[in-house]
Amino acid sequence: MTEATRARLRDWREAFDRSFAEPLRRREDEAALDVLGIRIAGDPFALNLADLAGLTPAMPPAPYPATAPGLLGLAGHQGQVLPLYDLQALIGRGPATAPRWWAITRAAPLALAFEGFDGQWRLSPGDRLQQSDATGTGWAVRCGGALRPLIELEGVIAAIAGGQLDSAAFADRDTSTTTAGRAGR
Amino acid sequence: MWTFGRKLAVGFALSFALLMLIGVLAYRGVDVLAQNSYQVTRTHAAVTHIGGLLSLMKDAETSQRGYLLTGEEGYLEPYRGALTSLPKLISELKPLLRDNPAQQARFEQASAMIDGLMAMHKERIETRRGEGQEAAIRNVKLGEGKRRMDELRAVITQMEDEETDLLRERAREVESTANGVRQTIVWGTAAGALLVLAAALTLSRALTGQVGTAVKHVQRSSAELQAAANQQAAGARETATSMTEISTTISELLATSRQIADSAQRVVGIAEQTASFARGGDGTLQAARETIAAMRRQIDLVVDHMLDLGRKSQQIGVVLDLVGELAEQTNILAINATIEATVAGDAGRRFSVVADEIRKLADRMTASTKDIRVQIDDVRGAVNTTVMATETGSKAVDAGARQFDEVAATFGRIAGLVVTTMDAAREIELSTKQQATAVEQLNVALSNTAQASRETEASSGQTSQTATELAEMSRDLLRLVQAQPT
Repeated sequence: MTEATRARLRDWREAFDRSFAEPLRRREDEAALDVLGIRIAGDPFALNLADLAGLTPAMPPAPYPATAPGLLGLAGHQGQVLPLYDLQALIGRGPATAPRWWAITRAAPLALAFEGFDGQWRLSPGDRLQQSDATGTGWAVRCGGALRPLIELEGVIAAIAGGQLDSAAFADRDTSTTTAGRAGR
Repeated sequence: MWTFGRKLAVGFALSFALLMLIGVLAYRGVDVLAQNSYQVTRTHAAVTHIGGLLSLMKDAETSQRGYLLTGEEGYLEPYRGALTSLPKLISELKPLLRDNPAQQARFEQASAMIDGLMAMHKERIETRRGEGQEAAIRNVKLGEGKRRMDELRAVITQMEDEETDLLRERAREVESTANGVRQTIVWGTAAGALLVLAAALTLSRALTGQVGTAVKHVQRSSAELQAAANQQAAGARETATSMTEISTTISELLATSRQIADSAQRVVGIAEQTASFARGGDGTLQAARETIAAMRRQIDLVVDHMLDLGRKSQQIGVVLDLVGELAEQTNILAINATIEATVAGDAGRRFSVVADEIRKLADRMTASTKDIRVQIDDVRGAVNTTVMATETGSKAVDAGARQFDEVAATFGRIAGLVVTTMDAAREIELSTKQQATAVEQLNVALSNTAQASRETEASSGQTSQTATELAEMSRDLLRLVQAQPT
């Protein structure tokens, strides 16, 4: 065991003990944002944990005979049958090759499949930044020192529900910044 | 062509035969002469005995007459002497006449007459003694005595004549035999002289011819012999000079052979040391081979341990997958718990904190499993690298062992070659010593040859001198046999 490992173990022990020693978080902490770091087509993205009702590893979906864009099939979660959509397709990145995770949305009973899951972060309000890149508007969060575009699931759900996504429009859609452009609070 | 010796032998043989013939003839002549002389002597003895008979008869008659006249006994002494001597004389005369029958008959007749006369004389003497002188003279006057005496004389005269004739006859025979002997001696001597003269002439001719030719040949041969002796002397001098040079060269060769023998002996010593080192090196090689084998076993053991370590690392990876799966599930559960706490609002705030701690632990566990996996992968990579390196090392050790075996085999061959070299060096040493010995013997032989050449030179000188003397002697001999200078 190296010295660095011992130091890390010692830090972890102290942090663990400190979680029991410190008082409950103050009111400011209520504004904290819990985000979920995911990876779509190799690129990092973030989901607001408050928009989700659950996270589960992907399983083979039950095929469903429909032609809705991004619909992968039917997924079961806690006794519910939910339509399973490809998040990569929904944000205009084309069909995913091998989605490994399902996220259950809270706003609507449906599941979103994506490829990678990097972790969960609890962020302070200062870590949510207005994204001002050339692609458009939207928000980004700083997770572990790196910025991740934050995907607004409400817009995605609304698009599914409104049938705004047809195949042609889906094909011409650019990147997630379009969807993210409609996001925001 | 008859040889000189044969001619000499024939001459001597003829001379000897002639001498033998002369000797035999002379011997026979002398023998005949001696026989005649013996016969003459016997005839003379017979004549003497016959004369003695007559003389004794005369003495007896005279003695008988004197006694008859005188009556004295002294006159009878001659009668008695005749009476004693007559038988002896008759017995001696008889063998002398045995070879002549006529004389033998006369002798018998005379003997009878002598016996009658002696008986008559005895009777008259007895008569004189007994009847006296008258009676005795009367008987004398009868004339019987005279008649008988005359007859006896006549017979004895015949006997004497016969013997005289015999003497004359033998004298003639002696003369004839003496003449034969004389002629034999004279003619034999003449023939011998002629024969000797002929042989002398023949031998002289042969001596002058054949011996002269032979002497000339001897002269020429002497000259040739002298020339040959001179050439032989020159050759012997050259041979002696060459032998001396060869002897010098062989002495150098002998020194070189001894140096080679010394060098070969040193080579043998070095080869023996090398063989000793090779034997010691063989033990070292054996120990090194055992060390390599032990190294090979250790490497195999290391490979086994490494493979075992790889298998255990794989098992650790499996367990780590399990732990990672558990961490991921814990994380998912913590996220879902956070979601549920968020949904619960204020009631879930405390739970949210706990869930966050759980998530943090799960994150740390995930990070740790990743680190462990990285390290395990590093370990497995290191193990694979080590195994490959060890296999490479094992192969290198195998190759090294093979090369070492080859080195050991080469070393063994070197040791064998060193032994062979040592044997060869010994053989070289022995051969060189034998060669040195042979060269010494050769040197001695060459010295003897040089000495023999010098002796040959001296002998050739003597031969030349002898040839010169022989030529001189040949000239003398030729002078002797031809009486002229050559």
